[in-house]
Amino acid sequence: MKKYRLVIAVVFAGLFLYACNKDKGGGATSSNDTFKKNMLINYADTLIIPAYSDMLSRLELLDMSSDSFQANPSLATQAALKEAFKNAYISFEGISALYFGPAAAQQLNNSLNIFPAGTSKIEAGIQSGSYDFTLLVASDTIQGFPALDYLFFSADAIQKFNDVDAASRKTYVKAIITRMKLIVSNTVAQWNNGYRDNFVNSLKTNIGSSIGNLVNQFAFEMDALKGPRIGYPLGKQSNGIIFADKCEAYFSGITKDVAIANLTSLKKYYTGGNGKGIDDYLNLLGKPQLNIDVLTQFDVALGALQAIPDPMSSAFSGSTATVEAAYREVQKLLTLIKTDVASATAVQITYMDNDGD
Amino acid sequence: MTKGRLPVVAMLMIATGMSIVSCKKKKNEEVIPVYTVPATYTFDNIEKSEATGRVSMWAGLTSYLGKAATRILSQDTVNNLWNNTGSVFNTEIANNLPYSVSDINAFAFNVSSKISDATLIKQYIDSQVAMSHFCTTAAAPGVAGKVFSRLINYSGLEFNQAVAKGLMGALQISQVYINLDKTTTDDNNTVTAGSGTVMQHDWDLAFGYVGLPTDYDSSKAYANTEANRPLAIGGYFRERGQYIKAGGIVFEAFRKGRAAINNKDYKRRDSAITTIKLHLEKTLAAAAYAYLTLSQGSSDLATRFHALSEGYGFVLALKYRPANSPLTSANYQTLSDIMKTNFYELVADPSNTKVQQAQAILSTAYGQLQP
Repeated sequence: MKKYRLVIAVVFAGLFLYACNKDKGGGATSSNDTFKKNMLINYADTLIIPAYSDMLSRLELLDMSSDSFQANPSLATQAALKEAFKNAYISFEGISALYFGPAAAQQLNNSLNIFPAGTSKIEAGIQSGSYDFTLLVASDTIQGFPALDYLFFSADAIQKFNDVDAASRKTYVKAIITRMKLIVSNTVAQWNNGYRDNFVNSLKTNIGSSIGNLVNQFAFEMDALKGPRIGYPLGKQSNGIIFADKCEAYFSGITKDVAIANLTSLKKYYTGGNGKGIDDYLNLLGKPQLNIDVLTQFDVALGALQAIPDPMSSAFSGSTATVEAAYREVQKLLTLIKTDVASATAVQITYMDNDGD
Repeated sequence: MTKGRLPVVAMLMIATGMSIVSCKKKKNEEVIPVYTVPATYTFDNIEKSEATGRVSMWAGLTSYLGKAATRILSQDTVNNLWNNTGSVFNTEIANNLPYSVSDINAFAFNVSSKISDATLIKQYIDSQVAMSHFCTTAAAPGVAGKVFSRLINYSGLEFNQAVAKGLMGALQISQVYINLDKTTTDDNNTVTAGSGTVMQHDWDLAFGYVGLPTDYDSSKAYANTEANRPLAIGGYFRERGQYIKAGGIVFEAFRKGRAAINNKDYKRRDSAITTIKLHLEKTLAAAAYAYLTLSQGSSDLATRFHALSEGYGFVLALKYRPANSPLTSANYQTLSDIMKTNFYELVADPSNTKVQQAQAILSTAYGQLQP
């Protein structure tokens, strides 16, 4: 009889302890960590590293097309080049949101896609043969996709590559593409040699954490879509005076394609593709409605972008209301991500330099 | 009239009586003096213009150095600011401070004479003057110049951050410690009209060097238009030291210590000294830690270099921590070596290994520094 009672007491004590552990949320935290780790593995292995590999192979193809074009600059080779250029630019939109860790270490976005291109500086550099792509800020606008966009597709591009002094122009183009390939391959190498493990094991949401970086970059890309990609050419910074030539990929006329590619890729990063993503994380955090709102707004914004007639550079003045509508939908999505998603995931938005001294 | 006052006196007597009782209860064998600690730093015979004035000079000097991002600085002006000669403090660089520019220019003292390692700090200052000649050219690895609004040297360092933050150690905490240490052997009997006893005066100077207004409120966000606002490390109590609650703790310890000296309660004075010393160096550590975090939270080089430069300055300031600091010499050396690494090299590491190693050294020595 006594023995029996003792057993019951032990069982009860065990139950009590078990209940206590559950109440403290220790179990919940560790399952969150498991979830987060699996989510980050999904990001690294199925989205991020493949996106960089794609970028690298697209740049190789671009390099080859560029060589063919320069060997025989003509409308036909330019058309083939444009296809390769478009594919590479769209591929870049798929890594644009990854501007942290290795990409930040390599200053990837600043070297590959600061637009509008500094066309007169580019011409001056080609003339003098003196340009330094490593200069910070000053050289951001004379290299990368925007510079190629100008060099390959501006009105008299073919003629310029046929000129007697085309050699220095060809050297310049080669230097740009070589640098783009170097930066991307360095970035891939850093992901493969250590950063990937660092990324998937960073399970907090503080400054510099993987989730912190992802959410910050979602917001940053949305800001860039709302600002430089749509808002600035639309005149949002210039009292409504339209600067269509300041849009992304102006000379090749693929502005709308790259904008849609940018937002589509952002949605893919948000959902984690076919695996676990920030959307599932929001559900886990008990924010299913916010997740639905974000997903819906992604589709609304994508639809609004798709409604813009091509070429988008003409639409800024030709179909202002349609572009304006897209701008507003992008802004709504930005607000959702920058405030609501950031606060739900306890991420501090840090990409603005707001230190006063 | 008299009738009306009586209850107040009675209440005061009761209150005093209660505090005696409660004090005696805590430590029943010792006789502990009973006195009140005022809520503001308000005592008889405070004279600390020499200290407060130097902190104002710090503000003017570092403000001038900050102009290097937009114009070429004058070496003569810098030398004059350093020596307080030639009446060079003007309202462009020394506005809204505890002292007006005419007061500062008229002071018979300067900032340089109270700086530990003045030669080293002057080298940083002169480097910033040299850097100002690059204020219109672009920076690159190995090349000094601008990256957005920031003027950096060949390795990414903003020299004015090394000066401004370095002086929080080489000027402020050095002078606070020197003056606090003096109070332990100072005379506390002979009162000089206006400045009190030597011990009181040294304590007041220490308080002056910390850069706080006498009615400091650690919960208040001071506007930079307020003349009596926290300056230098005093300002960083709120900016980067909120988590460790340094502002309120340091201000209270200064008030308690001065009240203790007035009542010859040297035990409480010494305990206040310990509190102040620890929390000042801890504030520097907390600021360094916060900036090292910020350097990892952005892809923008201007932001990253600025944060690292702030970190560099605060680590430099930690050189002037007390001998019994929880941060050992060996660990300080490692920390210092990390901050002296070329910033381009630091930002090229996607995992920020060295920066995180520096942060680990700080939190191992001082405990958790930021939320």
